[in-house]
Amino acid sequence: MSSIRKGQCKIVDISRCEAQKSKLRSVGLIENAVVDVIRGSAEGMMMLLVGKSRMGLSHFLASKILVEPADERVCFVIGGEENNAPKGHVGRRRRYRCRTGW
Amino acid sequence: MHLKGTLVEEDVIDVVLAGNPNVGKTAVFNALTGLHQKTGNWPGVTIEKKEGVFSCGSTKARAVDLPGIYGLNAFSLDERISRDYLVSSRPDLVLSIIDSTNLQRNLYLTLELIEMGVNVVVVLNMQDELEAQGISIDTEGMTRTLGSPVLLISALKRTGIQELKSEIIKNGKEGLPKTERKFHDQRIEEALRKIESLISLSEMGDKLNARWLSIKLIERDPEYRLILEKASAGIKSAVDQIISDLEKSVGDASVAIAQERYRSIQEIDANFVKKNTGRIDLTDRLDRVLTNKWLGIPIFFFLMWLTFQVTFAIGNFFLEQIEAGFEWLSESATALLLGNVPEIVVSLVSDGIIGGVGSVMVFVPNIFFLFLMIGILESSGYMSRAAFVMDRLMHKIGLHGKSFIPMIIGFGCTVPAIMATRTLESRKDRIITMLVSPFMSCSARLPIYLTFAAVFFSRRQGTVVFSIYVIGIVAAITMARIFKSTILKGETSPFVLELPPYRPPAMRETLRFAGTKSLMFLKRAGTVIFVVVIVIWALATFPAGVEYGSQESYAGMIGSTIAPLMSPMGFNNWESGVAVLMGGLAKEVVVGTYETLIGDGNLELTLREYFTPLSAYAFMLFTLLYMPCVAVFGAIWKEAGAKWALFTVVYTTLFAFFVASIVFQIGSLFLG
Repeated sequence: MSSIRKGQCKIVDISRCEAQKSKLRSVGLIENAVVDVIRGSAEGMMMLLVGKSRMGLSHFLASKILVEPADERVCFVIGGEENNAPKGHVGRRRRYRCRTGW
Repeated sequence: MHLKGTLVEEDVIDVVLAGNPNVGKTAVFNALTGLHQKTGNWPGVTIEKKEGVFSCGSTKARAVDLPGIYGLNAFSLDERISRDYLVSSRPDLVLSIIDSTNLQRNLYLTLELIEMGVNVVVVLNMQDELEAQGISIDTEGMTRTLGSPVLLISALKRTGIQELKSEIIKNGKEGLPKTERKFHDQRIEEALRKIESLISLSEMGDKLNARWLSIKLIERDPEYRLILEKASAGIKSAVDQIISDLEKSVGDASVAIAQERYRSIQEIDANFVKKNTGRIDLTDRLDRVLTNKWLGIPIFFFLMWLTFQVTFAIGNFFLEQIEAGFEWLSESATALLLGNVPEIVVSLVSDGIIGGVGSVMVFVPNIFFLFLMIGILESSGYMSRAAFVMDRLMHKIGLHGKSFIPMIIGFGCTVPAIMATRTLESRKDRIITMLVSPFMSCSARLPIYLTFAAVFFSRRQGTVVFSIYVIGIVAAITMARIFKSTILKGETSPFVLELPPYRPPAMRETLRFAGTKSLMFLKRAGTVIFVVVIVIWALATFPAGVEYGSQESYAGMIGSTIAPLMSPMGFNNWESGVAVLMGGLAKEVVVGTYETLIGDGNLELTLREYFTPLSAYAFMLFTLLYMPCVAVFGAIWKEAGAKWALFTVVYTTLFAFFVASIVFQIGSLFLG
């Protein structure tokens, strides 16, 4: 999940967050739930919209959650460069090292 | 049921308030009991359970406000307090408090409470916000589906409180009709039924609801698994077999149970909530700016700077009036007493009590405005954003943004900051946060900065004091980094933080919060500081025959012993030695000590004689960083143990000495 920068995605697996999974589920971060990534963790904490709740997720936790894109607006930071925050509107220019779509 | 005092057990209904963080549980508690416990628009305001009593007609009820939890799987210490209380106390009624604007997430806990088998009344709070957003909820339909009464209230606007009280009395006395609500699909229900029948054959379910225990066993909750371990081998293997069979059909059973709860919640939301989707989200717009990657941290520091500017600009006007009042009081008391009582009594009243206590009490307006500003930031929902934007920086030192919340609380008082570390899941993170929280300058230290800044930096008071606070934050972050990479090594723990919607600050609550804190400050001035200034006065007066406040007095002897140690920091007068020593009891005492020791002399002139602007700044830094007061020492002892409490005293004092000495010595090279 830490590589998603913006857009809706579906949570596939949270089993890697062994100690936190019950808490994640109780806040709505549950397998098959669709969440809206407002801000990716490349810019610090990740900001998600889970239902009507705005949730901040640490990068460490976000990196353990497996997701798949749920809409065509999803964009992500190219793998391995999560900590290099993309600049400007993603997809406009190649040098931003990001691409849109899936 | 039990209750202190004269109430007879049977007359009292035990009510527990449970709910997600930041849904207004404490506001409901205050509305029911008439108490004024602290509320705020950020998760984690309540970290310990609180109790209060209220009545409706002739029936009395005892309400317990629990820290917020998302579910009944204990994770951090504050969550464990809530779950253990709910499981062990067997209350007559549980009020499941819900943010009515956010039903979907909040109902998860409610379903768990209903599954637990306790009497639940569902309280949909924030009716005012719900109406403002154009949302309506069919409470009668929800009542039928959940099998528990559902009420719509606004604790802030005090609407629906009387109806809630009546519902508590009715259901607390009679209990709710026993109807078992099933939120899961056929396969899970079948497994639950089989496990329940096995539990009924053993002693496992004696103290717990059998259905609840069955659910927890299927969820593989480690604490409930221990109960199964005590059962006979036959029952244990039968339960394991049922769970294993279930998982062949539904996959991970704990996932399936959570999904089924959410499916039920979505049905409730779809059937009973009518939404207005055309509303523009102000929170979204504000978050784009306030949590922006580049602007977030500068905005945080700007807001802190603004806080101190307001504290000075408005507070100082009132300060001058009160100061003039105390001067008049001191002169009047001297004129009245002189000739009528021995001179030593005149000195005690004028120099000791009025001078010492008055010198601290004049800062009450500044304290009030400091807490007013902090209250506004808390009440608006900004507090969580501060943690959010600081996460990146905190991550670099091995902690995370959540650790920053106790630190911000430390700007008010370090004791609740130490308590607030309970919201952190990792013990190592808790200890590190406790060790560095004393560096976040508390309000008790403000009089020291105000006094010195007024004398030595009159044109840039706000900026100088702001710089002290920033150095406190930097010191906390630096020491946390050192601890994390040395004595308290460990992985950064992952965390989730809820960001509540921005709300207009609740001014009535915020003013009450600032007023209560100011009164507490006044109370300390009337008790601890009063006693300490009398002790200092006595030390400055005796042995008999010496000049008041001279180096030959006991105070002078004590101060003279300490003073040489402070030379590297640029101040080696014996009065500072006594002030620093007494500050270990309570930081407010430092200014009072100077005033008492100087007697009827002019504090400003005396300080100018003893300090240069550079050494005054070094003194402010030393008082910022050196050992915390006795109350904080006690709080760390209670939360982390004696070893860490003693360690805090030693390391903070050495660190303070090091920093103040470096600043003075290097500053001297440039300033001469």
